[in-house]
Amino acid sequence: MANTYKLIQSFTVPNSTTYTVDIGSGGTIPQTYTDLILHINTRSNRAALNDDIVLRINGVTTGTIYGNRRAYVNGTGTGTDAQAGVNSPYIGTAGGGSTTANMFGATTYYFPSYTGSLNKIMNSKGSSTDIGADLSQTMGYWTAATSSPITSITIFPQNGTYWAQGSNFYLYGIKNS
Amino acid sequence: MGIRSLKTASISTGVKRSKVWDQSAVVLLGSFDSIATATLSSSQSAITFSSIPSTYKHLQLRMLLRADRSGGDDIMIKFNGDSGANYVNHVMGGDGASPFPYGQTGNNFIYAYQGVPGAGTTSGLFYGGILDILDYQNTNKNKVTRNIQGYDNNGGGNIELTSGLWQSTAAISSISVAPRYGTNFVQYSQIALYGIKG
Repeated sequence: MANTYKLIQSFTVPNSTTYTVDIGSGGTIPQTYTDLILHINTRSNRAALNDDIVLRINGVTTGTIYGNRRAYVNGTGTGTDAQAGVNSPYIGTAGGGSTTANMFGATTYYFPSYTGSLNKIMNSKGSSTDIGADLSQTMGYWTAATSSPITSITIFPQNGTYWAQGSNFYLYGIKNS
Repeated sequence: MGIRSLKTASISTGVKRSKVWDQSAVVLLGSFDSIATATLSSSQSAITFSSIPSTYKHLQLRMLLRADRSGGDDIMIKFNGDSGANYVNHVMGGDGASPFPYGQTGNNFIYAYQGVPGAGTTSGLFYGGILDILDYQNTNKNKVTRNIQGYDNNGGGNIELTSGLWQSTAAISSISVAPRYGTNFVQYSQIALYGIKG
């Protein structure tokens, strides 16, 4: 199979003290691919069944460049929400500290054309199914109003204060030829 | 193609093994490998991948399925032959008119809800689904699946994002996919299993 899907970087939380995970820290994500895929399998210490995930790029923590829209279901009802002009956009689904033992949410982010000069976009699919009816899955669309290529990605729990041990993060590059 | 193990006999004697990954060494490039593909030459009650290699971090199933039940069918997915009430499902879907959420606990399988066209639908119409299983070998985690799937019958059909939970920390070594109500997947149904390296 052609070499079009390749691991760039991975990280597994070694103990429950890690709050922020930086992929491509210092701007080291290679600019040699067409798209990026980020698979994460995470759980936070939030005292709830789930947590949201904040995702930023290029270390941008100020300003209002981010926005997103989500659709979600909790098994018995659906909902949708949005953010606009924020600096901590939440997108994706993680397990929470009160959910069943050994439960981790599974979210995949897809970043097309991450090296281009257009605003950056991403879509996500996340699941954190619990044994009971819980916020179990989200579909999301995220945008960052910047012409800069994506050189790093920062992920942290929206409500929790750290990622649980064993949470992991895998970034892949995809080439279109 | 993934390699589970190299058998000396298959190299020195040329005897072909029953598993494709036992037969020969292939240079692997990249992180996304085809492990095995099953394409039905005739109707079959289930498709099972066994002895799944442990050399990957994530798995992905790409499915094209059609059942012989009139009107359509769900599909059932089981891991490691477990038929106990150890599965949970959640669905977020739409049929072109109304969105529908659905949840089910204590189930005996992960399922794709009303996802597979059946004998009453347009000839040649197949369901498409891509199911991800992250960290499938981790023995400290229950296994969560995520599947985006659907079909359109030019007047019927649906689109769904489904989540599945298998309440087990066991590493996944086999995956079985079967129609829930019908008796068979029909000819040309296909499931491809991919491994993603970490």
